[in-house]
Amino acid sequence: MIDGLLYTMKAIIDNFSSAIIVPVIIFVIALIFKVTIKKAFLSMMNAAVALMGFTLLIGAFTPIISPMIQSMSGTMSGYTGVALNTFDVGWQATAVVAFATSAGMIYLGLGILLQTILFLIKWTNIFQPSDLWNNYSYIVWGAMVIYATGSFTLGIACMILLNLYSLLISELVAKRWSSYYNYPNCTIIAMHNVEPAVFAILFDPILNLLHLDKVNLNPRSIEKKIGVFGEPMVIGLFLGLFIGILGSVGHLDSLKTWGQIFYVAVATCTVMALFPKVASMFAQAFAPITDAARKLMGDGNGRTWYIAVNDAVGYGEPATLTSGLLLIPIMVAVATVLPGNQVLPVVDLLAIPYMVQGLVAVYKGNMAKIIVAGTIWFSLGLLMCTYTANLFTEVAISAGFAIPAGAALITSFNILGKPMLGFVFLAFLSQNPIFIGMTVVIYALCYAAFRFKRTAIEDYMEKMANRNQAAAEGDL
Amino acid sequence: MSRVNILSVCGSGTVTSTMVAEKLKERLLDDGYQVHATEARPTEALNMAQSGSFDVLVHTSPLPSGDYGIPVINAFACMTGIGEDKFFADVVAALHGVGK
Repeated sequence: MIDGLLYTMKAIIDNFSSAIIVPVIIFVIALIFKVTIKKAFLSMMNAAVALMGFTLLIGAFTPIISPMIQSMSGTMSGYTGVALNTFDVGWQATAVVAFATSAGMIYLGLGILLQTILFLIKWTNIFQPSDLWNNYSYIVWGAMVIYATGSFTLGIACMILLNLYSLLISELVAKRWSSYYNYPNCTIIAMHNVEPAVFAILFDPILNLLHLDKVNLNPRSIEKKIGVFGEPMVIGLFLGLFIGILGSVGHLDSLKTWGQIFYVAVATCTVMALFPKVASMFAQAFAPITDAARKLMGDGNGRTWYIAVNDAVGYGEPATLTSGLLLIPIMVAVATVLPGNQVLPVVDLLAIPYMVQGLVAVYKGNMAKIIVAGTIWFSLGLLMCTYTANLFTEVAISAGFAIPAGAALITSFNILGKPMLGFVFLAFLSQNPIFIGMTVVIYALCYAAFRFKRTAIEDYMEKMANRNQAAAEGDL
Repeated sequence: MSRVNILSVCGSGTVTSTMVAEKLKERLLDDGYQVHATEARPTEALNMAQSGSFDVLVHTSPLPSGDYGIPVINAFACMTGIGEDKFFADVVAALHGVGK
C-alpha cells in the first residue's frame, strides 16, 4: 500500500527532473512553515539554480578529469598495486545529488517531522531540525538502498535508523563538544562528522598506552607554517598536477601532454573553488525553513537539552583546523598505498576540519591523538568509499547528473567514508532480515545502555579527556 | 539607503556564512542599509579583511588570530536564534562606528 503510493510519486519523479521537483518541494515545505510567499519563492529559485548549476559543472568537469584518472589508475597499479579510479567530488556535490533523489525528496519532509517528534517525546535531548542541511548524510545511503533494491520501504527504514544512530552518537559527544568548543547547550549532529567520536572513545586507552596523552603540539605555530598550502585552489592545483602527471607517464616529453596536464590542474582548481559557491546557493534555499523550524522549539521547558548547530562553528578552532590541514597530505599518501583502496580524496580534503571534530572534542584538542586516530579511521573510510563508489555513481546518474558512461567513478570521502555506520547501510542493501534485525537490536542495546548509564559514561569521557593536560580548551 | 560590504565567514564559506549573510541583508534593510555580503573561509578571512573592501566581518567559525583592521562580530546567535536581536544591533553599532 505504502509502496504503491510511493511508486506513483516515483512516476512523477521520473518525468520531471530533480531540478524542477526539489525546488517545488522546498517551496511547499516553506509555505507549511508559514514562510512568506516571496521568501519561499526565492528559496525555490535558489534550489533550482544550484541543482542545475551542479549538473552543468559536473557534466563539464567529468569528461576532462575522467581519462586522466583512468590513465593514472593504470600507471599506478603497475607501481604500488593501488589503482585510484574514483574521484572524490566532495560533500557539497554529494548533498546536491542526495537532495535530488527520490529518497531526498521524501526525507526533506519526513526528517523534520521525525526529528521534531523524537525531541518532543523526549526520545532524545537534541533538537535537530535546526540543522536540516545535514540530512543529506542519511539520504545518500537511503537513496542507494532504493536504487539497488527498488524498495522505498527499505530505503526509508534505513534513513530513519541511521538518523537514530546519529542522534545517539551526537548525544554521547554533546557534553564534550559543547564544553570544548565553548558553545553552551549546542552540539553537532552531522552523522558523517560525529561517527569518528565512537572510535575515538574506544581507541583512547591504546593511545594513552603509547603516551600520546603527554604529547603537546602547538596548533597556532603549525597553522602559520601551512599558510597558502591550505587554500582550496592551491590544493586543487597540486592534486590536478598529481593526477595529470601520473596520468601521462610515458609521454611527458611532449608539449601537448603538458598542455593537457595544466588543463586538468586548472579544471580541478576551478571545481574546488566553484562547488562551495554553488552549494551556498542551495544553502540559501534552506535558510528560511531552518529558521522557521527553530522557532517551533520554544525554550525546552527546563529540560537539559542541546540544539543542533552546523559544524561550521567548530571549523576554525586552532587544534581542529591545524590537525585537519596536517591530515591532508597524510590522507593523500595513505590513499596511494592502502591495499584495496581505489579513491583519491580531493575536494573533501578541505572537509577534514569538519571530520575531526568528534575526535577533537573527545581528546580535548590533543593533536597527536587526533592525527593518529584520524589517519586510521579515515583510511577505513576510504575503503567504504571504494566499496560504495559504483552504486553511488549510478545513483548520481539516475538523479540526472550527466556523468558520461565509462567515466571514472565518483564518491565523497567525507560523506561515504563511514566505516561503522556504513554497515547499517550494507545490512539494508543485503535485504537480509537477520542482518537488518541485528542493526536494530544493536541500536536498541546501545540506546538502553546510554539511557541507564548516561552519567557514568559522561563522567568517564570527562576523566579521559582531562588526561590530555597538555592541550588547552578551544579559544574563540 | 547606505550601501555596506560585509564579510561573512564560516567553515567553507558555504552553508552558515550564507545563512548569516541572508539574514543581515533582510534585517539591516530596516535600518537603512543595503548589504552586500561576501562569504569566506577562516583561512582566507584575514587577507580579505585587510584588503580594505569590507566594513565589518561576521563569523560563525572561530577565526585565526591576527589584526583584522575592521570590527569583528561573532554571528553564532544566528545558529540558534537566541540573542539574534543583539547580534543585529551589534552589527549596526559597528557600522555606525566605521562611519556608515
